[in-house]
Amino acid sequence: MKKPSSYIGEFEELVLLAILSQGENAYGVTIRQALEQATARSITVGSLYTTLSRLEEKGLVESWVGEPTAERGGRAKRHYKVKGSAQSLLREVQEARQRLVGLRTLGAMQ
Amino acid sequence: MKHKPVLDEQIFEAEVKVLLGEQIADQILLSQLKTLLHEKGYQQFESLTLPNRFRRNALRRAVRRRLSLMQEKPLLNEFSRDSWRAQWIARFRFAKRDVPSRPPLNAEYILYLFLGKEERDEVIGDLIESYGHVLRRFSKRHADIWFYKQVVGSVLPLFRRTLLKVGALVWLGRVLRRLIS
Repeated sequence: MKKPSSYIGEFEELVLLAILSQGENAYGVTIRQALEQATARSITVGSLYTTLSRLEEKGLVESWVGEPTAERGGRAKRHYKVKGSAQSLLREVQEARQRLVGLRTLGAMQ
Repeated sequence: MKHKPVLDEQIFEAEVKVLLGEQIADQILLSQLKTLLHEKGYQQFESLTLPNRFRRNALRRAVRRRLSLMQEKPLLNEFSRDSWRAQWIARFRFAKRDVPSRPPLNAEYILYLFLGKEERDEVIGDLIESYGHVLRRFSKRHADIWFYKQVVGSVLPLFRRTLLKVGALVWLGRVLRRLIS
């Protein structure tokens, strides 16, 4: 079995999936909204950006600064994109989860 | 001269005028105001003094509250009989229109302390954008509470990250010292 290149926590996984779900429009506000809708819990900007910077340090996401807008008080957005390595890592994590669910089902049957 | 009764409304307006004029010339404006009120027959304003800090803050809140109630009315026409009243309303409305509602500055400053220079703009920009959404949906007070909640909730993870960075540096320093010695 191929070992994942890096360990990711539960919240990191959720953030990666939220970025993927937003596509080209993935920045702080949209990522936070997607997470809040999906998990039905309040996410603070601090915890989101701490996770995003950690993911960036791990080389799982890349970011670039967009144009400043009046709605944001003249401040720019930082857009995020999930790297290819992160996508394969997410697949591996999900496959591992599927296998564990399978094992649990087998155990219940026996 | 017949004394006119002094209404709370008139006291409020007079104090607001003093408040607005503070930045220009407090004492000159105050004396002008007294003369004006004296001419109009409002003797009681003789003893008018500059509002203190608490009174000023209360006045600011009262002005904001009144303006939010009056937003739908054609203010300048309504108060055109009273030019200085129209002036301060117009001035506040102008300020309100030109400067978008800002989140509480104290809360923003707390974030400034914990955020790195490279991520300050993005994080605070995100908060301001969301603050605008909350403001449009609810009210300024609700939006302010939401903003404070976000800041309080964000301080802990940001502080923990800073601590981890400092801890890592200390650990690295110890390793290097051992290697050297």
